[in-house]
Order: sequence, then C-alpha cells, then structure tokens
Amino acid sequence: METLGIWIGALCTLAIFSYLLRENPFFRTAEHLFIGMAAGIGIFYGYQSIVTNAWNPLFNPGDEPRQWFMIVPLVLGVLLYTRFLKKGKWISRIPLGFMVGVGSALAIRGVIGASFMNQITATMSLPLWGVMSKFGIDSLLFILGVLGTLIYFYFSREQKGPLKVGASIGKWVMMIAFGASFGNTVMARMSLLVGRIYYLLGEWLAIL
Amino acid sequence: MRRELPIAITFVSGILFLLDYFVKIPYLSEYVVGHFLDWAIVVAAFALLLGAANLLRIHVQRIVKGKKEWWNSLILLVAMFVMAIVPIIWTQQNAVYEYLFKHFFEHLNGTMFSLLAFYIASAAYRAFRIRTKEATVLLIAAVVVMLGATPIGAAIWKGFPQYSDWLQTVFTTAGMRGIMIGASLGAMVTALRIIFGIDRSYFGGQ
Amino acid sequence: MKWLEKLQTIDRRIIYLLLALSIILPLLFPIGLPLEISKNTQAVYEQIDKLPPGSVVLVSYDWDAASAPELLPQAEAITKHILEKKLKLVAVALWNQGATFADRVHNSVAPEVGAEYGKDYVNLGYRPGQAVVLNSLARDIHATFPEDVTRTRTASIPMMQDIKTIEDIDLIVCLSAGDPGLRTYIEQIGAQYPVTITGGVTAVSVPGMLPYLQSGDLVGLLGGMSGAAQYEMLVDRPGLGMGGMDAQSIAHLLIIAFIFIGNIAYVAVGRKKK
Repeated sequence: METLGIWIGALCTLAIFSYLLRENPFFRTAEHLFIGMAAGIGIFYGYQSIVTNAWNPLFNPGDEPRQWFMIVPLVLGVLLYTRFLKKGKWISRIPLGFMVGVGSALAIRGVIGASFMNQITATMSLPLWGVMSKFGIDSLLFILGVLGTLIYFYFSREQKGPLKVGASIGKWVMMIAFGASFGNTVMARMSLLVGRIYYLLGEWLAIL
Repeated sequence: MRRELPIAITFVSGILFLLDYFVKIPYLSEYVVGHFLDWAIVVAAFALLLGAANLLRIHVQRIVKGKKEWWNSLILLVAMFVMAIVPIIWTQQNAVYEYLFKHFFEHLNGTMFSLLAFYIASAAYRAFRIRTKEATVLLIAAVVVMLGATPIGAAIWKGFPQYSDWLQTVFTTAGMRGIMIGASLGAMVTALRIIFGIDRSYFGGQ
Repeated sequence: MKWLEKLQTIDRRIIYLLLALSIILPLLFPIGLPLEISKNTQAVYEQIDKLPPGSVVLVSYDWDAASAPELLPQAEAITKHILEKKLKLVAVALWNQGATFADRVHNSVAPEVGAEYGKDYVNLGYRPGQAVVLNSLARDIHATFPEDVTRTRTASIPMMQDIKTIEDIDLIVCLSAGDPGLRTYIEQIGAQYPVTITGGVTAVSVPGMLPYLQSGDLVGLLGGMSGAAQYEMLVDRPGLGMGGMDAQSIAHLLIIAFIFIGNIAYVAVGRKKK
C-alpha cells in the first residue's frame, strides 16, 4: 500500500510538472483533483469547528454548563447563505457586517502596537553611532534609511530640497531591500523544487 | 433597514473591540468581547464552507450540462466529498485521510508551487536586465543575499555571510520598516473608514 | 557573434533542464559544504534551551503543503528540541493543513524522545478566524479549542489542566508561510501580552519579519530551508534541511549565472544593433 502511495505521489508530481512543457489534459485533471481535495479539507475543518465550538457547547455540553448564547453564531452563520437567494440576499450582510467590524477593529489593534508604535520607538531609541551588524556607522545608516523611505512616500508636498535628498536615500535603501527580497524569494522557490526532487529521487526512485 | 442594519452592526462590533483595547471596561471586556470572539470563530467556520458551496454549484452545473471535460468536474466533486466525509466520520487521524493527504494532496499542492522555481529561473535569464544604477544595486544585494544564505557563499569568500547579514540587518530592515510604518497607517485608516461606514465596498458594489 | 544572439533567444526548456540538473546532481553526489549557524537561528535555539523542564511552549503550524520543504524540517527539529528538553508542547494551527502536519511531526519525533500524547504534547488542531482565534485563545484556550484533534475534550487532557490562558504559555514558536502567521502572533498577542515570540518562516517572508526582530517584538528567526538545516545541526537530527543545502547552493549559483549570461548576451547584441 505504501509503495502504491509513493507511485501515486510521483505520478501527481509528474502530472503537474508536465505543465512546463505545455498545458495538457493530465495537468488539468491533477489541477481539478487538487482543488477538490483542498475544498474538501476546508469543509471538514469548517464543519469540525462548528460542531466543537458551537453545536456541542449548546446541545451536548456534557459535564459543563450549557452555553445558550451559542445559538447566535449558528444563526448568523446560516444567514451567510442567504446570499444565494434572490430576494433575501441583503440578509447575508448582517453576519458579514459583524465579521468585518470585528476584523477591522482587530486589524487596528494589531497594527497600532507592534507594526506602528513599536517600530517608531525602536528607531528613536537607537544611538546615532553604533554597530548593528558590522560597522559603527550602521546605526546612522539605519535611521537615515527609515526616514528616507518614509519621505519617499510623502506626497503632500513637492519633493525638492531636503525632501528630494531624503527621498533619494529612501530609493536606494529600498533598492537594496528589494534586492534582498528577490534573493530570499529565489531561495524559497528553489527550496520547494529541492523538496520535490528530493522526493522523486529519494522516495520514488530510491537512489539517494 | 437593508443598508443601515449591517452598517450599524459593523459599527457596534468594531467600536466595542476598539474600546476593549484602549480601556478595559469590566463587564464589556470580560463578557461581551469574549462572547463575540467565540461567535466570530463559528461564523468564520460557516464562511469556510461558503467557498465549497460555490465550487459545488459551478461544477454540478458543468456536469449536468455535459460541458467540455466534465469528468474533471466529477473528479473535483468526488475528491471534495471524500476529503470532507472521511475525517468528519473518523477524525483527521484516520488512516484513509492520512493516506490521501500524504500521497495525493501534499504532492499536488507542493508541485503546483514548485513550478515557480522554473519561472523565476527563466525570468532571471530573460528579464533581469541591468539597465540602470538602481537595477545594479538591486542585483548586487540579491547576489550577496543568495550567496550569504547558503554554505557555498562562505566557501567562496568568508565575507559573503557577513555582508549578507549587514545588508539585511541595516538596509533591508530600514527599508521594510519605512514601508511597514506607512502601510500600518494605511491599514488603520482603511479599518476606521469601514467601522464608521464610510467605506462600504465590502458589501459588494454599494 | 551569432552565438550571442542565439544565447538571448535560448529555449526556455533548456533553462528548465539546467535548473533541474543543478538540483539533481548535488543530491546524487553531495559536496558536504560546511554549515554556519546564523545569529537568528542561535537565538531561537537559546529561547527554547533556556526554559526549565515543564515550561509550556505553544507551537503554531501556519503553513500548507506548498511550504513543507522549508517548514516541515524546521518543525521536526524544533519539536525534537522541545520534547527532549521535557517541555510541554501545545500545537495549534491557523492554516487548516497545519493540523495534519502537526500530527506528522509528532508521530515522527515523539517516539525518538519517548514523549507521550496528552502528557508531554497535544495537538489542538485548526480553528478559522485568524486574528480572532489568537485573541480568543489568549483569553481562554479551552473555549477556543474545546476538543483536540482526536475529539477528546481539552479540559480532560492531563497536561491541559493547568494550561488555560496565554499567561500559562512560556514561549510561542510560530512556523509560518504568510498571513495569518508570525506577523499575526506578533501583532495580536506579542503587543498585548508579556509572552516571548520566536519562530520560523519561509525564506520569502524573512525581509518582512526583520523590522520586528530589530524592535524586539520577535526574538530569533529561522529563515527557510537554510534555517531548518542549521537547526537540524544544532539538535543533531539531519533531515531534508541539511540534505538539501548543497542542491540549494548550486541552484543559487545557477540563477546568478543566468542573470549574468542573460545580461552579457543582451549588452553584446544591443551594441551590435547600435
């Protein structure tokens, strides 16, 4: 059974790789199989979460107190499906509104601390001269880099004089950042391919 | 009612969670926010099924109408039902589910994304042109990082890992931080616009 | 200079073939290049290593099969370290496939170190809702995950008796391939509760995490397959990470060569046209 599984895995891999030569029926079948399985996994976890987090606490509480309030999300959840109706379509906006409200507030709560204030204070608390990685000038370069990048995206005033210098620093710093991002992206993609070939050579052909 | 009710609900739930962040109000923070969080998980679970419901609708139609390559739609639906029903009945630690996940799904998903390795190689050859000074700097940073992160870099020159670390610690971090602060401001403004009902695009075309 | 013009219009299939060979050959004939441990990998190791036995580590599986070559070896090496140190491991997932990968990692590592399910480690599975799930689990883990993946009530699992809110967690290790993931943990939990967050990401996510490392919101970071290889070396458990490093190295050299050859051909042909 395990050997059959490895052959299936190899055939699935090769069916998808065949797309590199040209679009073909094997790829399309594999693609549909993939989407179907991914959707199936989604259904399972959706169902499982509804049962464990709402249905059981409401209808099968066991030794714990029954949670009557759990009727609310069950109703809200079902209302999401009114979007398939012609007349009652607007009702689906009620649960949607709830989720969007909670989601937006949590987005603000998240961003405001770690990604906004902490980033500003961490930059402000750096000394003007200090080693961050290699040279004493690192710290100064870093602070100029952050300020320059911010100035680059400042469009409320025409960029001339000091603003132009700042924006120019920002541009070069971002070029280095994008270069490093490109390098990291290459690294990630190659790792995925290494993983696939490792499987084909190691598990399927067993020559590693 | 049709327009106001959803906007009012967005406003109330949004403001409640914002209040809870800045000032902890005894009953509100402990009880109401806690319940809202529990509810939101369940509603998100229903939303997860929504995508599958859409797929079901489209592919049943394709099969019924006998569209071109309708058997692929059939394969999709069978795969969907098997991957859903088996763990629903016997949990995710069931041998059949684990077998299907390990031998079919993992390879399909993994290979689909590993195709990008070939495209990035092809793009590196055909599209990465050093036309400007900016592109030259970008290229140098990319090369140093690529060599610095793998053992071959250090084997060629001991400086590669060090300079890769320097570029990333000083310049990449600074650039990313600048972008992050700007993007955070944007995210906060967008979220506030949604909570206050100014931006209603998420309701679809209104 | 006709060959230079030809070089510019080379068939993409030749590029594909060369790339495949650059990975196949080093896998078949390993060079055994020595690995260096980066300071960020070392920092992750130290965060786990300094915890006293019995401390609780929350490991979050926020990735799918597409990122498995980078994050599965990271997860296995880190899990070995956690269980070997006799720490309690609570696995959760913000990506639905993560719950299955958590089972896979536990099944392969737990027997090696003699760890027992329910006593030393537990898999609470996946819940949808992203940031909502994290805010919810910070308040009440048992309400967020009323049952584990085996459908045992969380309240009845021995090791979960004393693990109820974020205050009972000593360290968060988030292994993430994007959002929701490490950033979500830093934003939703790190900024609001005094718990240390560390983790591992795919190489492509590394630049986006660097500002958090500098600001101290994130302590230590494993980056991609090379981060996995370094951690495998630290805990002495060779796997795909270490096995794939030579291939990764040669593939990088090839990409760099592609960029240079592509440009030489472009410049040469461009000059001739002028």
